[in-house]
Amino acid sequence: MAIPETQFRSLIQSHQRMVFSLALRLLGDYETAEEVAQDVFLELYRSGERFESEDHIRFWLRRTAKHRAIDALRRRSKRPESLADEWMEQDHSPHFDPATHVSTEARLESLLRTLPEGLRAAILLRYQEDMLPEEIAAVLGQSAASIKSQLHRGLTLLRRKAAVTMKEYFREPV
Amino acid sequence: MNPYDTNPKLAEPLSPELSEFEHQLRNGLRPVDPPAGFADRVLARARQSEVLDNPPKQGAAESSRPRRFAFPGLRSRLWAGSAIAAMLLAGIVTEENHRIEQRHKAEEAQRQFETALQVTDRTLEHVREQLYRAGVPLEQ
Repeated sequence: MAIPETQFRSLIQSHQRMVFSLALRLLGDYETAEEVAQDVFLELYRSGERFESEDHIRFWLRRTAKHRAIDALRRRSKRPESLADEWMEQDHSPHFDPATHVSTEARLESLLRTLPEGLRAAILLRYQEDMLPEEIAAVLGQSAASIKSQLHRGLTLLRRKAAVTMKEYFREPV
Repeated sequence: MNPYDTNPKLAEPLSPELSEFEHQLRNGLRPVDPPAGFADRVLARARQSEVLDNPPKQGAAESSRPRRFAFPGLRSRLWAGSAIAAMLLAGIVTEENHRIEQRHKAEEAQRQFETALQVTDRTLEHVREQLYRAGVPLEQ
């Protein structure tokens, strides 16, 4: 192996939650998310890149996880953009039956998956990974101003959706 | 440790009216664990890909097959012997051709020399006759 096995195992164990969660929330299903997360670590293993620090590895993993998840999304031709657009155009009544007792987290994740890829990635890096807009900009290869605007747009859209579908938890700001 | 305790910029909401929602979202998007055995599966794939990327060398595969020649290196020695014999044969043929060519050249030169001698003899005889007719005494 290019990286000694013990070192590679420890690397996986340190970052697997982050990589898997990003893939899962971008893709929306466990099976593909695990496949993508595995691919990301294998790419790291084969890359032969010299990592200068833990931050460098984390940055590389986040960027690669995002790219591979988006690739997988495109492969299976799922179009969250169109779903999001349709959602905005429809007249909504609450979709969730409180009797099903679906957790708030699961509902939020479902709403998140209706956002366009770009907005979703920015929201995830901000609220799952606790990254600053400037750091997100570096990972996604965009300007910080554009990321701030996407975050605001994504958050507003999510808030509106939550106000409709999760009335018991969220209210539309007045 | 909560990163917001140490980095005040992270706690800064994007807009005041969304701050509560941001808080809910942050709580809802906590990282989740991958299915059990994830690291083992990645390592297994890494090992497998390493085997696929670096397959055993061809010689190693051949060694497990039944060998046509019982003695190691015999085939290569036979090849070398044949090559040397062919080279020697080619050398002998070339040398023989060269010798025949030289002999032909020598015979041709001999013929030309004899012709030249005959011409010279005839010329001298002609001159002697002319001198004799003119009454020039010729020393014997």
